[in-house]
Amino acid sequence: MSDRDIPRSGETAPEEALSRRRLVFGGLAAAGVVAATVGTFGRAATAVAARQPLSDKVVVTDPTLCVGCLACEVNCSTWHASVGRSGVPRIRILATPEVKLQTQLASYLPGRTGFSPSTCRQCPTPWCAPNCPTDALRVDPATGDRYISETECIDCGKCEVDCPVEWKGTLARTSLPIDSKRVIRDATNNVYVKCDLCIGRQGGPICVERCPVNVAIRAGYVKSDHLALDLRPSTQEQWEKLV
Amino acid sequence: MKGFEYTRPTSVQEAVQLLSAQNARALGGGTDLLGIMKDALLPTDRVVDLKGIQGLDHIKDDSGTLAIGALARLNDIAASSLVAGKAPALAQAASLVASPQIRNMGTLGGNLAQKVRCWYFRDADRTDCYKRNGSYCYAVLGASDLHAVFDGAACFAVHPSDTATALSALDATVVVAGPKGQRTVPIASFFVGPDTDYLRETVLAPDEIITEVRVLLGAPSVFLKAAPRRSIDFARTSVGAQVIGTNVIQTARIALGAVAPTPHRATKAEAFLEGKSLAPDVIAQAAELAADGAKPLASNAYKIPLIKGLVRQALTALSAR
Repeated sequence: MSDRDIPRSGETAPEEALSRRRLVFGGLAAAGVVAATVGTFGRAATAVAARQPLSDKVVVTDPTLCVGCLACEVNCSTWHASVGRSGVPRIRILATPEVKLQTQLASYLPGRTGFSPSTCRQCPTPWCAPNCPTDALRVDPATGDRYISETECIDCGKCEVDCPVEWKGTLARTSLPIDSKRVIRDATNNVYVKCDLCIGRQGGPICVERCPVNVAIRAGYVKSDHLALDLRPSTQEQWEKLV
Repeated sequence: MKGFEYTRPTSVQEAVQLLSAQNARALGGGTDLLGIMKDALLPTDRVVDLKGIQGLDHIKDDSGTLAIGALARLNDIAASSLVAGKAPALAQAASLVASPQIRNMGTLGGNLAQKVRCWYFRDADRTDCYKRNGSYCYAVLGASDLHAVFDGAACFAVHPSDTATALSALDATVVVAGPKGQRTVPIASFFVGPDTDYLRETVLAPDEIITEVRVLLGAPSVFLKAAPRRSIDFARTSVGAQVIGTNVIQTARIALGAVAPTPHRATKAEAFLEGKSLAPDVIAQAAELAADGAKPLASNAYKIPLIKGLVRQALTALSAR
């Protein structure tokens, strides 16, 4: 198995991950509505929500603590590329001039305000998963991570169509407009990618670990009761807050 | 200094082959590499001294193109009447690098391929700097006087080369030799930002070397540099500018040095200048546009007025020609 198949310290072989068929048909069978919904997988996802484990974690971002240094984007690209996956960043920072930096940071870095990092919300119902024709979009049974196996992805784009959250605005990195779902296409490698919470990486998501504001908060230099990029349980309540 | 193997190839092919070993580094004048080795900033097991290669130190007019060998010394470039007459920005940049001693040793290729001067990278104790394959940039929340106001991404070190800024304004072409032969790279895509790869500053692979730099001769150009000391100092901000067109500007190129991880082209100012003449009000507006989009860190906001002032001075100097 190559690393693009997302190894997880031997815990979860991809074939053991919850597949589309198990998600949809298993769930529908339990709900007793197989005949009524065959051929409308997109709608069927609602019927199977109860069968799907929630993701243990989701990266929650606080724009008022973001100084736009792009460490999250760069490290996301670098780490994923280093393990043989697509180097397209799964977390993006949008330029949002209306967002004001936290007072302590703003007093030190007045020129670095107006940035909003965001990534996949690890939806309680993974809308992106059920329509994947190759079972490339998987739910890790151990952690509930929603991830894409890039070796299985056939670049059809159904996950992108079904993704309910968007990036819309101006990218801080290039100052160019972005209007995209949070499942994004890597046009070089012809695969779709999304935040996989750095599945397989010891220490968890690299963006959370390496954000310099997070480092400063952990060291006590920046006063905040939460991190700029925080890992929190992906509960329904948490998800509704994000939406 | 840690022990290393010293090699002195006599051909480009031999040099490229020797550079294919792990932690092999090319030596031009050695004014940057030896400092890096003394402080053990980057692992170096083999030094490939390029000075044994004949015919890489030329400065000549090659059918209307200025061709400068990678081993041409900075003082020779500064003193060349051909360069001073046909590509003055490059002559001025070469003459403003560091000190006479360093210019007598330093080569054009080495000046383009040098490592950054970020004071955190150069601090031997800060092994977790991105440029040293670490995981943190001290400049983001630290002292950032030397650092980038444009295009910083994870790492905020700026490219320190004066000649790179001048050559960006002159739209030069860099000739690179590697194991697969020779390739030419436009200077605009020769430098690599940290969002592409924070471990290197150029597109050069470890077993590639610069062999020549080529510049089309002709249009007026100028290079200006601001640094705390007049000599032996790296730019805090520099500008290289070239305008093509007699009364009305057809093409303008403004490259800013020491303000971004790569030489930064002031594209908005360049576009604004096209079709205009260098009148004082036009120059003033272009200078304002040159700093557009700057996002300073804690202690480098001074570079914004510096950019505006240098661009204004550079365009004023060009308007007088």
